[in-house]
Amino acid sequence: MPVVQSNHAEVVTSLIEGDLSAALFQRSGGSAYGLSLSQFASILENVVRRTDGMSGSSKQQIVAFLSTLKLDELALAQGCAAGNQHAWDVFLTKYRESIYQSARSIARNETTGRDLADSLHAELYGLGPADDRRSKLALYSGRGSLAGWLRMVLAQSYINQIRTGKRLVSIEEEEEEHGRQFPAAATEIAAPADSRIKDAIDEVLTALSPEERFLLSSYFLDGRRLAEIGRTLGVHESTISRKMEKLLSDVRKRIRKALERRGMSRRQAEEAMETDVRDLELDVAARLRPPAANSP
Amino acid sequence: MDRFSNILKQRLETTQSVQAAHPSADTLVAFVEQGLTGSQREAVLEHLSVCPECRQAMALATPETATVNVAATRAVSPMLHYPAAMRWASLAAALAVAVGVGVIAYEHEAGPIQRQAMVSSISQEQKANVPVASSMPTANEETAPSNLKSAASQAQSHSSIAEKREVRRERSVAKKEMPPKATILGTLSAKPSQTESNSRYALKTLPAAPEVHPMIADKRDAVETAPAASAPASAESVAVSAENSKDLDSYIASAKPSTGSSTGGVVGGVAGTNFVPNQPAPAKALNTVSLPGAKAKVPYGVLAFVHWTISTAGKLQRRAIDGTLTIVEPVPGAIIRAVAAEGIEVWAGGSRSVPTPKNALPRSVLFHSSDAGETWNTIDGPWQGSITRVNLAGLGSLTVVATDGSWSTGDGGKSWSKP
Repeated sequence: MPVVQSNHAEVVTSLIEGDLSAALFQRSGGSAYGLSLSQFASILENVVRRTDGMSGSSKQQIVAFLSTLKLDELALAQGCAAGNQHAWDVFLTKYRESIYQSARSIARNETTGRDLADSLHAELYGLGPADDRRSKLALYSGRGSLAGWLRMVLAQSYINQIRTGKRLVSIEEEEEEHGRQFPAAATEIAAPADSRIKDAIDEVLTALSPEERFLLSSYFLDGRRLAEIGRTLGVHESTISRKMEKLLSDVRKRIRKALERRGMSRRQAEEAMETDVRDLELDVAARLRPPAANSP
Repeated sequence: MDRFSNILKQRLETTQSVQAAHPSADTLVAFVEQGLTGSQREAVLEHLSVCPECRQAMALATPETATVNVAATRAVSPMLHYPAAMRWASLAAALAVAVGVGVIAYEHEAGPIQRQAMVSSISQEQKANVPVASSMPTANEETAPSNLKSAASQAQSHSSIAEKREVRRERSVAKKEMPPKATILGTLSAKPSQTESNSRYALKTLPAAPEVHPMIADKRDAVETAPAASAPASAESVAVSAENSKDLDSYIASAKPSTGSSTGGVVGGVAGTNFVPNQPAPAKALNTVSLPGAKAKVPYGVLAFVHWTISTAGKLQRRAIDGTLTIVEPVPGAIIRAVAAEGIEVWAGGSRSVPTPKNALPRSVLFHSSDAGETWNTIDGPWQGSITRVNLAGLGSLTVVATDGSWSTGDGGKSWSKP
């Protein structure tokens, strides 16, 4: 294994130090942001090393991967990380407003969004002493668009902020701000009385593909709409709708077969998956009340 | 949510866990932007299926452009989600409207062409008859019936609705081009839509004549025995003369022994013929058969109007078959109280002048026109007081109801007697 890693590193180094890096550097326009060819070659080498799944890749795969990078945005981000003024001018011109818009959109609040964007600007500029300032832009590898990366960083920061804030806010403060909070009446999930049902479902869920599990999790656990799921996967919501319909039908069929393998009859398996009467919205008391009592 | 979904949700929740390591923002962006290879994508999906935080971050970081694109797609998709029948129905409706407009435009465009074709076909037929007319100028009585038949067949061949419409339009144009007469005060053009209804009305109300009145028979004989000098010299006039002979026959056929009306509207004339109104020759031919004592008149378009009415101001009105309403004054300032008409014979009772303080009750007279109101004769009678009603029993035979009673004549107003 170490031999393979060593060979991979040699391949990367040879590629980066050869004509390829020069051609990529020329394409990126990094010289405008104060980057040299050697600096850019080093950046590319780091990108390849950091990328998951690139270890042990062949020469052709590495060349193909490097050719897919957004080199101009990578050079801009690295120029900003290196403290180049022109790079910052270009960056702020291009992305400053979009960062604030994205932050407002994510936070759904003007103040919170502005705070979120300001904190990101600080992270992008770099924290720490002046001589050892580390900009977050150095982490950008050019695999996706810089705008998308900035938005993703904002989203992650927002989630971290919420998670951190929840930990810090005491119950008393919460009550002072929002009044006494009561947990919402959670929908009571009918636990399967028979362990065979649980085992059968676990077996089927484990056998699902990652995309199918992602679909089920997004739909059932996160409550995402089909359009949102489709947007995440880059397909139309109608495609997701068809996929979900087919997936649920398949899962139901597979669970029934798994139950049959565990000794249930077909009818028992169907009954085990039938509608729970507790989910029915039926006002039994009103229905049972005599008509005279109902009339005014 | 059914029990199956509840159980599924419960089991899915057990698979969720807080992961120690998350994909980098770079990787997630590349995933969203479809920039990952198959294995890389599978690895990210594997993580996302069990990591709620990364799913939330992904959902929040979905680019706005994607939202806009989806919204744009949604804006289009509802139209596409309509039932196919609705989409085709709208298309069919648009097509029908386009075809309808095209047909109407074609009819309007083809109108003059059709008219030209009709005129040219008629003139060709007339040219074919030229040798007959020129070589046998005295044989009008023979030429006329043959032309009559050809004209009748010509009229039958152009019996389609569009052609009738063209003929009516032609008459309307000819009527508008009529030179102003001293006796015609003004012309009120009716709506074109009334033309058809009037035509239908005239056709329906025209009575079928079971017998021919002696005077009409005399008229026809007079036409047939007209001298060569009165015969038209040109081929055109020959053809039109035949046309008028046909019209006269139609008139004779439609004549009724006892028709008439008083103050109400009177329907007369011959409708539905293929007569060209602005030709003076046929009128001359007809005038040769005017009643004894009547001077020669030059009527035109005499068969183009069918309805006589009296306005509240006492003015005589004739409504042509094309809907044109014309006010007719037998003498200037005449006040009409009763009218009766049969074809081109019109009798109207009234006074010559408007009542004045000195002459509060001017003497009533009878106005008679044998050319459908183009020219008038004034007939005085033995009645006293005002004429309230005129009943036409036939050509030259009528009854006048005056204040002092009824007076009848059988010779066109020369002699009167009380029945």
